[in-house]
Amino acid sequence: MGCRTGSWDTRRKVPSRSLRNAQVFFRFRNETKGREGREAKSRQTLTSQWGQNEFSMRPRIFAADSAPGFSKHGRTLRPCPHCPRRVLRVLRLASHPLGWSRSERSTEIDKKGAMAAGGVIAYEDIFEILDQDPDGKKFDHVSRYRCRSAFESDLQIDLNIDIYKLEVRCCEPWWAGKAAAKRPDSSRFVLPITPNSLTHPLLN
Amino acid sequence: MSLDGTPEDPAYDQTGKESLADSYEYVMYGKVFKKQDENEGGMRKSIVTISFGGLLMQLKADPKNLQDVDIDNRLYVLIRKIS
Repeated sequence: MGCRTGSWDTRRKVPSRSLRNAQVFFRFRNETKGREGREAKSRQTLTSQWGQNEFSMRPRIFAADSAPGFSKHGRTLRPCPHCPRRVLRVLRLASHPLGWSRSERSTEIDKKGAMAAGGVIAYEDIFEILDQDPDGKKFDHVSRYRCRSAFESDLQIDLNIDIYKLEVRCCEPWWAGKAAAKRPDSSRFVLPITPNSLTHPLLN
Repeated sequence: MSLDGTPEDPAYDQTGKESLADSYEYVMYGKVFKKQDENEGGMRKSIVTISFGGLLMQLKADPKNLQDVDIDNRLYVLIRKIS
């Protein structure tokens, strides 16, 4: 064990991170003990590859199928700090009238009379934050978030995390409660969920 | 951004009157520079890519929900947390 872990462990510049990686590694080894060698080997390669990039913000993966307090999404292995808090966001795209021709815009408004603000909303949805910086962090003050809505819309958005920081969902999806009744195996979180089976909270 | 849906003046509004942004926490303004359709496992999806001064946003959704969004549109994105 000494020489295998040493090859990437001793090169670490940051002690704390190397310690964390080492813990993950050992844990992973324990978990896969007794499983098939091929499966274990492929996972092991994954772990060590990710361990080699010091600045990688990618959460370390390993068999996170059933660990309590850990994401079922298979991506993160951080303990869940907010359980059972759910993280929901609204995203709304409002059109800027300059983007359209003036005449077209004004006739539309005249037709509908005094429109509510909803009239200029081009798109509106609720997204859940699945992942932060899936391809690694590229800039100091900007993070890319990967999000998904109940209507199977995927969103990737860059946000200035100095101004506005989002938390990655680490628990059950917000619609899990509603979908649980219709889903025989409710313990497992599977995407996609058909939007028809849900009622959109904004429409209620 | 006005609450009654009236078009905005091209000039920057410094009056500080009520706007749509008041009820949101994070607002960006940008331009749609790419819109394409793709077929993903039998489901049609529209992909809209918007640049907010260099920060990008890519939205992949049903084409009928994105029909109001066209290339070169200038859009605000308004974001808030709901729980």
